[in-house]
Amino acid sequence: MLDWRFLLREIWQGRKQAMIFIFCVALSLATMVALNGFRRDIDRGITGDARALHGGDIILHSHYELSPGLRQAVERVQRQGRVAQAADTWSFYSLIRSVNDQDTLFANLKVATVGYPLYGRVELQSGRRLDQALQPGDVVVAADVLHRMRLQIGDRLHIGEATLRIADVVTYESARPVDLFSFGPRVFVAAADLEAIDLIRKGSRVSYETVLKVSREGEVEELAAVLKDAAVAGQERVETYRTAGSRIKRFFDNLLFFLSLISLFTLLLAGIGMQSSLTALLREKEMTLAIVKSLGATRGFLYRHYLVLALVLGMVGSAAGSTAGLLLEGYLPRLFAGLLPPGSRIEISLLDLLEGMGLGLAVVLFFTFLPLSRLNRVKPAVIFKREVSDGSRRAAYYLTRAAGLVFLTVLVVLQLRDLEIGLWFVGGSLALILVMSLLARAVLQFARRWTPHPLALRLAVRSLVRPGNATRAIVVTLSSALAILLAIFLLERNLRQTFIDSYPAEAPNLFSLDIQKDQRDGFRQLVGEDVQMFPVIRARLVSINGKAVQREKEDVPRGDSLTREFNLTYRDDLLPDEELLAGRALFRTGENGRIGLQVSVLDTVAEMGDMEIGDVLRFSIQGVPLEAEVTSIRTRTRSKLYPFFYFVFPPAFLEKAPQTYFAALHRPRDEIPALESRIVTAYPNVSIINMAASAAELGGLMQKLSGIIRFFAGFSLLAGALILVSSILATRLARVREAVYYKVLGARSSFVLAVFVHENLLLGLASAIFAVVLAQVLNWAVCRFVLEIAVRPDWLATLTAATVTVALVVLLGVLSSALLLRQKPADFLREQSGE
Amino acid sequence: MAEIIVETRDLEKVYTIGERRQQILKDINLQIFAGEFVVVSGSSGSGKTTLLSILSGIDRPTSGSILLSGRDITGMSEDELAPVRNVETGFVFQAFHLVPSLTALENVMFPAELRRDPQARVKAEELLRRVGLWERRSSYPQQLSGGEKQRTAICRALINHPKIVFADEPTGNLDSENSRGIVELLAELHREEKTTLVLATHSPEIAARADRVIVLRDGCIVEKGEGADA
Repeated sequence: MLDWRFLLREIWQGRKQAMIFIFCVALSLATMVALNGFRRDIDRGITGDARALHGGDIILHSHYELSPGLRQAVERVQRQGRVAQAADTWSFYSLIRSVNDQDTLFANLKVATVGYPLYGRVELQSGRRLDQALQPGDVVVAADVLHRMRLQIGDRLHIGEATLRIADVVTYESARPVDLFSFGPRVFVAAADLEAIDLIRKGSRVSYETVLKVSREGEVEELAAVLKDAAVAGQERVETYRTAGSRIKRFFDNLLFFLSLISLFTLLLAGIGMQSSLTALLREKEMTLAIVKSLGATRGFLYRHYLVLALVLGMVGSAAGSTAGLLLEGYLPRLFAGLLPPGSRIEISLLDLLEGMGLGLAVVLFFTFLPLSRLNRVKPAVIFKREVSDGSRRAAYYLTRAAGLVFLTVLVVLQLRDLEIGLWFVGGSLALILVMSLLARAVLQFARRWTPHPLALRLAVRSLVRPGNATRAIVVTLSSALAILLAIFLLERNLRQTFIDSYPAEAPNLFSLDIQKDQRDGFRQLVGEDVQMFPVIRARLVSINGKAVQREKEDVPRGDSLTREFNLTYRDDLLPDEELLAGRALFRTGENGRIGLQVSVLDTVAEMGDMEIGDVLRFSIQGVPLEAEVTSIRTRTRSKLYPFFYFVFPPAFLEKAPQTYFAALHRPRDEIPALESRIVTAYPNVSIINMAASAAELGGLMQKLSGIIRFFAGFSLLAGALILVSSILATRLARVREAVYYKVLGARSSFVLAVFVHENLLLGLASAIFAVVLAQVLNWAVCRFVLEIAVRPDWLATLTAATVTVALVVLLGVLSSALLLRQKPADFLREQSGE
Repeated sequence: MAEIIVETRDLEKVYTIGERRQQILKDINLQIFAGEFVVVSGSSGSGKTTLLSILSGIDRPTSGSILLSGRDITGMSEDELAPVRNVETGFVFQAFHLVPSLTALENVMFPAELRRDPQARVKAEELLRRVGLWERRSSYPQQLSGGEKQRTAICRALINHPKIVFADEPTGNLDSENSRGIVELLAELHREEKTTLVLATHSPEIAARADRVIVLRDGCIVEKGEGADA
């Protein structure tokens, strides 16, 4: 049975700590609930309808025209009536020009046959269907094309060798709900004009896709299997809408996954806050507990009541957190503005709320187990102000901790839906907290022995080690949260510095792709002799030492894959930003000076395929096999200014292979548009990438993503702030006592304030220093080993972040302590003697 | 004639707790002279502690005035009172009130350090030696016995050589042996340092050693008699 009056009285008397506890529960849930709801919104509105995203039930994909075998298989199933409808598309980038050749634009062209898309929709400004608007001789363009080229509907455009009329404007495309990865706006061209534009040559970078709508839903997998058998392995991909990957889906999956990691981290820190505030609340209640025990209350009575107390507070916190999460979810479309299609809807459901409440209670149970174990250790003798504490920790304590850890791991894995990363996350977070905890302990041990001369500083140091002070918890949470925030910030700055800001003035800034062999000399003459040209041969890796590269094994959700198509090249020398990691030269010279079938591989791909010198790699170049032995492993220095090729061959073997050229050159920015126009006029099939413009777009995207990540990571700092306030409340009595003693002994208020400022300054400094050290180590490790870019510590930003943290901690600490300064010594002493 | 250290005029103290007004002190008029050992006596709740806290500048009267060395401290703010508490008065509490985070030595040094006395450590060490606590100088209050705590508190009250020391039931929390020791110590310091000592107690033995005994009843002075020689 519960004594509700006792329970309510306990909550009311400990209301300040109870509020902190509720805030911590709410904080732990808010971002999690918001993200879970938002993920459902994304699924529902953008990535959920896989048919609309891919435009068909079965998707045949290749970088070449469909092979005759696959084409015949498609025709066969069409004749059998098993396919209701089919549509072909050709996607590629090209420069488009205004009729007067004054404006050019790098555009994402999609040539489509009638009927495309078979699922989903392409909405046009006129309200017509795409195939109604896309007549031969016409194009349908994104609004950006009109805006950037100063054109309007009805105007004409040069695309390749043809001149086409703008018939309509695309307002929404379900296969491309957001425009994140294309470096140019969409232009739809009718398949009937494919020949006229004449942009597809041998080796051109074209994505060929045939989408099929099956007649009977149940036959999707069976038909896909039939077509897969007919496809050229490694060259043609046959997928269903269920299995096909989508860059958009992958992007949101990855981003939301990463944000989930951050929100779990916030949950962990807020959990420490829950523990800290509940411990403080129980410490305040120690005397009450002792009296209640001395009057005959059993352990069960106390456990029952305090567990219910924690659950009641937890429920209030869960409700508050879920509500805050739903409000936050409503704000997310604004935060993600530019990454979501305009008019994206957020649907707030009861399920989100219930899920939040359930999660909240689970979290409360986990984080309150340990503080509640204190109940066991309170002895009635405390009434007589004797230190009585059962210092020995029983097996049950460790058992509880172990069970809690298992529970936390399950919770994390369920949230992330990824066992391996879940385990890494739990391990990594615990390691981070452990390291911070050990550092904080070392500092506190030093503080116990440190006797600085200035009196206010000495008293502040003594205050930090006062019994009951949550100094360690504050330092651990604040520094962990700040370290993660700062590391994310530093990584963004490093990426930006490497790829955008510090792009050297003389580095290539204009790249041309798909230059045909017979266009090579003319191209060189057109742009100048200083152009660097790299031959490109498209091929797939079939096997390593006779062991086939397996698609299923390689197709990991996050990361590169050995099964994709690679660009091979040939040359004799290392590029200026390359060096050898293994092997004495790029290629081995034979006995009579001849070079055998050899290949040099880049370290990143060598790592992916566990390749070593002497391994034999088998490639398929458009069906033609090629075997070569690995003779060297290259790595790239961190300048990253040259195009990189995973596989480099000696010229002798690939010179005759079907190839195109990749050209890199540098020109002043203001000369680029005119040059682009000249190139595309002379060679319409050549694709051009203006790096300066692309870098700016990439920079914008990076900044946006970094802002979103920082927004979420900011919540973890709140957890640190809550623990700080909780600690100040928990030690209020000790602080008041000290302030009164100082005053009674002749200290002015300014001196007492100085002690509080020093105390919080030390707290902030310790947190900031630990955070800076950890963030710099993380930044260095990720830049050096993961991104493989030059590491810049960015001390100015680091110093700013550290200073802001220290200032905030001091401000918050002093504000929380300000009331104590007004305490009259006589009142306090009278209260004390009245006890 | 000896110098007047403390003088009160029509002192009154009223506490208001909720709706209830409680008069603790009324019409207190007294003078304490330099070098005197005055005992304030009276039963529990008679107003001894309140009187001492007002005389020492820790608390303020509801009406009336207090002059400390001829200076009216009645209307002073907390910060104006700070140097008065630091230098002119010393206070020994029944509950010791040592700063828990400071060692015995640091507790004693504290008032001297506040006034930036470069000799703070030397003076504190000398005082601790004198009261037999040299060996315990690095102990924290919670590691000291009641008698040791009170001896430390006495050292702290004396370090700035105040003109007057107030001791509120200094033996109230101690056993009889320690009580005797503390009283001996206070009396000895009074004799040797010529410090004015105002001590609140209801112990007739201690009162018997005072120069003068002020007896309080229900907040009023009912008797201002002379004590016996120690």
